[in-house]
Amino acid sequence: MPNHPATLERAQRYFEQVGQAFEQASRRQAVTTLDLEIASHPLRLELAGEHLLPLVWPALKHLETPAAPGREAPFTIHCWEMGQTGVEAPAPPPEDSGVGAILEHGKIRGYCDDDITAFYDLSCDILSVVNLRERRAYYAVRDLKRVQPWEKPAPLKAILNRWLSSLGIQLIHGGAVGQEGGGVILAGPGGAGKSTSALACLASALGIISDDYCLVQPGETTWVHNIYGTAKLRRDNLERIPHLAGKLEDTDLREGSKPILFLRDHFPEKLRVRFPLRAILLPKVTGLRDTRLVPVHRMLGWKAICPSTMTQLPGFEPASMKLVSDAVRAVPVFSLEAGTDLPQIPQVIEDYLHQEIPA
Amino acid sequence: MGTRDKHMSYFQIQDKDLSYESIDGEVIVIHFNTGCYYSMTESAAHLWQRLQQPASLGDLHGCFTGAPEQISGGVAKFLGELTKEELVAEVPAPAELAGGVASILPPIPYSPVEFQKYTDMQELLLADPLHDVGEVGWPKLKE
Repeated sequence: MPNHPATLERAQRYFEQVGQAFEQASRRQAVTTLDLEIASHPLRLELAGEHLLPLVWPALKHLETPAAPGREAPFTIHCWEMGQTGVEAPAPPPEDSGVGAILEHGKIRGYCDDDITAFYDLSCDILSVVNLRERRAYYAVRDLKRVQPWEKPAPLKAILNRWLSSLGIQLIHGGAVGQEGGGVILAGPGGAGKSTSALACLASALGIISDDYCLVQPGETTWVHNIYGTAKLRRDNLERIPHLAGKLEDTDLREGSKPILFLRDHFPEKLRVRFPLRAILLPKVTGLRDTRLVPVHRMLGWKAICPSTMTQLPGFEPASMKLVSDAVRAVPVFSLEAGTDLPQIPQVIEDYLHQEIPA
Repeated sequence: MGTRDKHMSYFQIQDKDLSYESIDGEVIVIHFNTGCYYSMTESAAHLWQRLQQPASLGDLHGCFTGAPEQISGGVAKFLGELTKEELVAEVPAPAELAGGVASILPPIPYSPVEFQKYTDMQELLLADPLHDVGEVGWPKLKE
């Protein structure tokens, strides 16, 4: 459906106003520039001041890549903290129709068109505004102390999802482990065993892209790409994975927090940037000793990925659903009936990949 | 293909707020407005495919072989449920006889027409008014 002209004008005007606020913030605090690549696409973070560095950088720094002249211009995210800089992000004026005062799954009604999307994260008090045509976005945090513990391991999700999905690359809620020749996605609801299964692989020959979020890019080859170099584990699961002892950051003890593993710091050799997708595995804790793979209907793979991804990502569009569906159609889906003998988990995955990856 | 009758009721999928995909014969439909999603297989998936274009009750009955009373009862019930869920609606009679999917969709043996409805995403997807805005206004939340 074509956008209403009033919406187009409103969204563009608001984007410019947010941009002016960032300009003001950047005059008060020196700008820190960070360059990286996600799925081979250049990204630049410009932070007014360094206050947001501990929030946005640790989970992304493993993808740091110097900007190369002559390459595709980077998509740029301008970030600032309102409290530290003293610069407020402008409020979209709410009108009687509810425009600007209503969130629809994180998107601010009336301030979104085909190119511009305005998000507001109520729980963290963070405004994100994306402009695909101008290849820029703004990320305004009111107060670092209000940001919830789940933002640091996976920052800038709304913006990165909007940008990357426009390129045919979909952020999904799922882990991924594998080798250069191919790997698997681990999908399922919280508590299914994705993190435990993924982190068990750190003590094997398998590499890891993620335990929680990764990118899928359907095509002639369906690729899985790295985005966040972090893993999280429930505190009551730590003793089951002894090779993680002493390596997790566990300084945020608020409700909803989990210890975070920054993979680049402790397992840099295990981090994989991308691999071809060979299968989708749905971990299931059996309570039995042994682990095995059981083929299941592909739709179970879709159901394991799509709903939880949709609820965790603001701005999940129908096009995103198609990307997930195309990725699911491309590979077989198995139930990973995970046993209590943890080393069997990576062994079963390795054995499967060994027979699937061309020599 | 059926014959067009301007007095007949025609039904079609309401694409506006929906997204649907078919994987290995199973159809999943997401209703972005209500936050519900639905899964359909076999007869239901077959009817869903036909409803991508305007279809009369006669057209829908023609999707199946089998006992006419069973087919008409099952189709009517399914159509009623889809309408209640805002997945399909009555539409004007098409200007031309249906081509495309309608002309190449072969009938299949009838089996009970059912779908599964999932509401686990609903709460998290529905519109969320900024009811916590303080006196100063958005984006200042009440402390």
